[in-house]
Amino acid sequence: MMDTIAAISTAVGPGAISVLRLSGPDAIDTSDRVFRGRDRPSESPHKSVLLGEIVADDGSPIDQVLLLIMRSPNSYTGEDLVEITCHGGLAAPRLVLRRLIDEGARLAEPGEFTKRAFLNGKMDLAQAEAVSELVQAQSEKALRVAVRQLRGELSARIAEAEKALLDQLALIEANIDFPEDEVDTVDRTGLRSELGRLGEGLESLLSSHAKGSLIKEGIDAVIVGKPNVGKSSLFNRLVGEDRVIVSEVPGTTRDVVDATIPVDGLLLNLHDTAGVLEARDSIEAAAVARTRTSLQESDIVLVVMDASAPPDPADDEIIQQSTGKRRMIVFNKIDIEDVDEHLAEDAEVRVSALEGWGIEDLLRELRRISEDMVGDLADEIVTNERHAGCLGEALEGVERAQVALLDQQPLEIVASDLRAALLGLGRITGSNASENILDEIFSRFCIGK
Amino acid sequence: MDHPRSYDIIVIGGGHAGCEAALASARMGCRTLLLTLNIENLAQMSCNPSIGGLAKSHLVKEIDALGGEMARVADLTSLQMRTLNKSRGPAVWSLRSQNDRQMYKALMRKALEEQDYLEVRQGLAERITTEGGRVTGVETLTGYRFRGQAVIVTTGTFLRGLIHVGLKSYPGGRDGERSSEGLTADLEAHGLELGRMKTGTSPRVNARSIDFEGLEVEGGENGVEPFSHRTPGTIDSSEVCYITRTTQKTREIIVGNLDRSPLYTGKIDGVGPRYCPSIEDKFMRFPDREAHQLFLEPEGRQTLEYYISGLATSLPEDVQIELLRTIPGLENAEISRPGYAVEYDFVKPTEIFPTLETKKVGGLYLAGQINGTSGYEEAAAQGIMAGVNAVLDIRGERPLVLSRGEAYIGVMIDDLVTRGTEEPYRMFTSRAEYRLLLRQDNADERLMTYGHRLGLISAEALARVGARRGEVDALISRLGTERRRAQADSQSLKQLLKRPGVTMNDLLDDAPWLATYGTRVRFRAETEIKYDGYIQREARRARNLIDKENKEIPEWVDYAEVASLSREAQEKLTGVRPRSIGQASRVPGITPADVASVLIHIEKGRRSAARK
Repeated sequence: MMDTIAAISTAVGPGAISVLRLSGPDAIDTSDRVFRGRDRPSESPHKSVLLGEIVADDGSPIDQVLLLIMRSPNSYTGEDLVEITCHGGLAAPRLVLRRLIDEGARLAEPGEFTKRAFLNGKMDLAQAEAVSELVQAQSEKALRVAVRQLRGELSARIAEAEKALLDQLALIEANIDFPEDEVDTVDRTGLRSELGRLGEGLESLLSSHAKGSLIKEGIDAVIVGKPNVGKSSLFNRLVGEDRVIVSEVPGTTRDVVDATIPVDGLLLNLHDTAGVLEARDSIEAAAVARTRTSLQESDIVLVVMDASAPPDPADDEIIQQSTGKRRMIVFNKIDIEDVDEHLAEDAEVRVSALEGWGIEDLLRELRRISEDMVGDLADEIVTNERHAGCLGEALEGVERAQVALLDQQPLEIVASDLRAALLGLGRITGSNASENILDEIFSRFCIGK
Repeated sequence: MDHPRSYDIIVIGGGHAGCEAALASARMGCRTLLLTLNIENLAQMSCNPSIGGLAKSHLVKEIDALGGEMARVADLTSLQMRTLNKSRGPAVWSLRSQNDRQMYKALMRKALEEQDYLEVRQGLAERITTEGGRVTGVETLTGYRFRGQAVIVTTGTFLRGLIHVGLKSYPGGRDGERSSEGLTADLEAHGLELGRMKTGTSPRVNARSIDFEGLEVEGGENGVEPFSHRTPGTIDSSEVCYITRTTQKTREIIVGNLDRSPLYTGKIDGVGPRYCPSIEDKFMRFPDREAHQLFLEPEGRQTLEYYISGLATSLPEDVQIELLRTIPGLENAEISRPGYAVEYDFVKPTEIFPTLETKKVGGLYLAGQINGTSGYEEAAAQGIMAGVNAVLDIRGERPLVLSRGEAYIGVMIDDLVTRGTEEPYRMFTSRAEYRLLLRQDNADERLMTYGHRLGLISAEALARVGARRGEVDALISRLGTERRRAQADSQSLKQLLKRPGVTMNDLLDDAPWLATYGTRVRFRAETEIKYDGYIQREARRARNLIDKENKEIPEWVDYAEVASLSREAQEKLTGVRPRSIGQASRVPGITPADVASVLIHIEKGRRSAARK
């Protein structure tokens, strides 16, 4: 028997209101005992909202609240669920929670409401996972992706792919199991192009995982440049606070410093680095190594150059090291002097980190690049590691099947690959499509020697 | 009135399931009685005169590896052998044999009669006697009682069998044979849930009335590896089959007479098999198909009858003759036996454990069509498993339950007891998720150790398999080091074999030493080398399966207490009573969420038990 759980569901801290959730077989009875108002929760229908107060066991009021009553199975968790909206801040929600626990509710574990929803069949695995991402979403786009996944759109795309795979597999299996029946033969070329299309679909879903992590984790932008070109000043200017000590001594920044800023619905993780330079001691050697790693792992590279100084071969070396990355050249210190230098092919902006000149241009450019990387959200996006793994398996199976077809491998080998692919997809949605193969065969082919 | 002697095992029914059950039990040293309606019809092939075919040959080889009889008798009475699916990879190669119907049952009967500890007796079982929820024996229609510690019921299509020809029907288990009317009520009284199924068979025709001229000939092969390890040498084919097709006229006659078909007038309630539809069904369900293929199969050497395979029908006799005569080669056909449909009772297979023992009555086992299956091979496979497990139970030993990763028999029984079946269940290779591991060529390696341990396989036979395994391993390792003679290859022969399209035979010229290995050894080595990656992958998956199968669901689990399960899931799991988490996850309609709930429930129970 499930017990009844309670938790404060909004972030704890200053705020006008706070919401608590109470879910389980005793949720309504417990509400009856702690709530005083015109109506009793146990006598109120599904979806009613009650105004009143939570009272202590001696009857003294704790806080004025709104109760939202949801009855099983038509609630988020599938159980009786009461949402209590009380005043915000630190004290009120905690006192209300304490009262619920005194009345027999148990403090919910992290994610437990969602777990119950999953266990009660209110959502499939992909949806349940979306909830945790929804809760953790830090940017607007991450939120939108999670909401779409929760609506089951990812599951629908996977189900579509499953059906397409099943169609192809059924023909192969019919050929294998009914050699004496007049089943359409497998057209290897046709099947291969069909699988090619299927593979492309899976691949685009899978490649959306890269986008997915950009959306979920944020885009990594690393600031590199020779020593003393003003990387840290630029970083501070973008972050909007003095996070990094700025000095005229070259090489002051020894470590990679990070900060996250929102850019138009996305997160930009800025990394300030030590100037790429020859290390003079072991501490610097470590800093240089970290800079290199940071550079490699970044999504966008901001190469800062000194606009007031003449061109320097050291800049070329830095450019060399960031080849292949999305890159932007930032000419800094235009307040001192702006030597009109242009480097082809890369986007470039001219700024003064010190005066704040050109920073808007820089942000606009960053936004453009970010948007370009993430693309629009018209397509489904896979943000979950596990889903990506399963999709990878499915894609591998489909690709191997194509190779097997090309190599004139027997059909049972092709079938083995496609079954592996189907298994991978089934692990995302939890369905077991392979059991439908025979149904598919009998509905499509006239079998029966 | 009591029979003076008491038995260890009583088998009711002498079809393919009953024969294997009785032989296994007697060969394991248990005093066994086989009770049959008609001794003349032991091991009758009621439908096609054929053994094996896709997935079924795998079953035959598995029965043989466990020490059964079907394979040997099929070899001895074969008229034609063919290997199906040769172009589709070794895991789905299947041997199919046309058999002499009369000879088959004669030889099986002799095997039964010659067997020590086994008595065959004619009689109609009417009641299963029990005491305290456990069987004590069988009572016949005449009131005669046989005492036994375990009873295996293999009634085929005889339980309240009802034969339909056109709109006429009469009680019968097979054409010309009586049905068993009383046992159903008795099984129901023991609490078992029964259902009704239907199957059909084709008309048979005298060869003198067939015009074979112009028909496509389907010949057999010579030098074929036999089904049984006990059959010496290879087998040649002596007979051919013929192929013909229905015509537009056939369709018109069938469509015009549907009002006289018991299938289309709603007279038959039983569920028929989708993979073996009647000719009426074929035309109605696939209207775009112009013609349907038919096979003319010889019934045996002592008769001129031919079986018209693919023409199962329950249309009236005048329609049957009319439609036959629209088919090329059959324009003047004379029917010797009309086709018919038969409805019969079966027990819902979720009533039995994977040992084939019923959940409600201890010592009562069911095998064959009574469990909702179809096919001689499916029946025989269950027969031997029921016989073996009944004996092991009496001896107080652990039962033999084969897993889905080790045998088609394991797949079939797991499907039946876990998922149940709505239509007659037939084996297909696509039911086996580890198909590349479960080949007909390695059935002996997979299962003979079990057979030997049970006392059904001789030490010599097991040693031969071991020796051949050794040879295969030696050959594989030698192929890994040798290169083609007189060629500057950098690749070993093994690497060459891995290439698509390269076979062992292609290498014979450049590596004549290969000829010192037997064909079976070479074939096995080639298969294992070629499909190594695939076989390894399936083996890994099969090991994962075993992990899940090893997670047992304790006896104390009461699904009604798992609140997060839907009422439907609770009912399903309570009905099936899966033994492991793996089996639970295969129960139809059970979601991963349900399985997770059960796991959580078990874990909670363990913890609270640990606290106490």
